[in-house]
Parts: sequence; structure tokens; C-alpha cells
Amino acid sequence: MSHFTKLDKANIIDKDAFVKACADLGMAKVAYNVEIKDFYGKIIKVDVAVTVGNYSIGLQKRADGKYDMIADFWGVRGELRGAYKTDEELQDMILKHTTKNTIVSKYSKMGYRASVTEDEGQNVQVELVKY
Amino acid sequence: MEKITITIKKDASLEYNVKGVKGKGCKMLTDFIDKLSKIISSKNTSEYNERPIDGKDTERN
Repeated sequence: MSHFTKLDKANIIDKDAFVKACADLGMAKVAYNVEIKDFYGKIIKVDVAVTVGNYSIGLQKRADGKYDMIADFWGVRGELRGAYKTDEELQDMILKHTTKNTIVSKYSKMGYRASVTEDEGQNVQVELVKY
Repeated sequence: MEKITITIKKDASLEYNVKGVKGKGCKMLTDFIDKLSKIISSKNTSEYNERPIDGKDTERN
């Protein structure tokens, strides 16, 4: 099914961390305050959009200051040539890297030294140390 | 030494563990992490029940 899906479980608070996460995953074309389209041509306005081919992943700010992630994930997956088997797999991958980037950015500013590793099960471990 | 170990799982859920932070400062330190995702588990170490060296502690509302 190809249409916009809004992911409100995404507690994204740092849009720069989202942009960096997408870049880490090979999606580096970024625009701010733009409109994005789904397969059917439905248009929505987003605060930031990362575009791959003909489709985009956007963030919309909520009243609580956090962001919803919204996209035609089926279309995005198509542009990524089957790298992700399901919409949820792609969503979780973006959220995982966004969360990592948010944590590293926040705690680095608080004086913690961060080291990041990823195991074979694709779990990311962040160690933050302050002396 | 203060050490926070955070595991971000494949489904973007989180687990974390804090060492070396005495008292409820530990919880204050991790409130930010709690905002990011659903938490599978967090562990208070024995230091959670110790008073900080300055004798002060901060209550959470």
C-alpha cells in the first residue's frame, strides 16, 4: 500500500539528528519547510524533508515540541531498491540512528565522551563516560 | 567516573544503565533518555540510594 503514513510513536526531538541519521543511511538530500507528495499525489507540508528519488521522509512538529515522522514509506523503500523488507524495518532503522545521534549530541555537550558500537544483531550500544 | 551505557535495539527501543552517579541525580541525568523512546528496562545501581558528597539531593515531582 502506498500512501502517507504518520509515525507518531517516533519521539524525535532533534531534527538535526534525524537529518544526520538519514545521511548515515545514504539519504542526504535535505530541504526545510517544503511540501512532499505520496504515490497518489497527496501533498503535505513538513518542517524538514529528506528526499530519495521521487519520495521523501518528512518531520512535522507536534504541539509538544517533538516531531512525527511522515512518508510514503513504500515509495521510499522502492527508491532504496529493496534494502528494507518492510516499512517498519525502515522506520525503526531511521529512529535507531536518530536516537543515537540525539543522545551523542546531547551528552557530548554535557562533557561526556561518547563511543558507539553496533553488534551483529544491529543493536547499537552507546557508552558515555565523564571523569 | 560517571558512566551511562545505552543500548538502542533494532526496533529503536532503549535499555540503559547508569554507574557512578549518586542519589537521584542519576534519574535527573536520564530523564532526557526517557523522552526519546519507550524504555524496555532501566537499572538503578546501589549508588542510587547513596547521598551525593555535598549532602544534597534533588526530589523529582
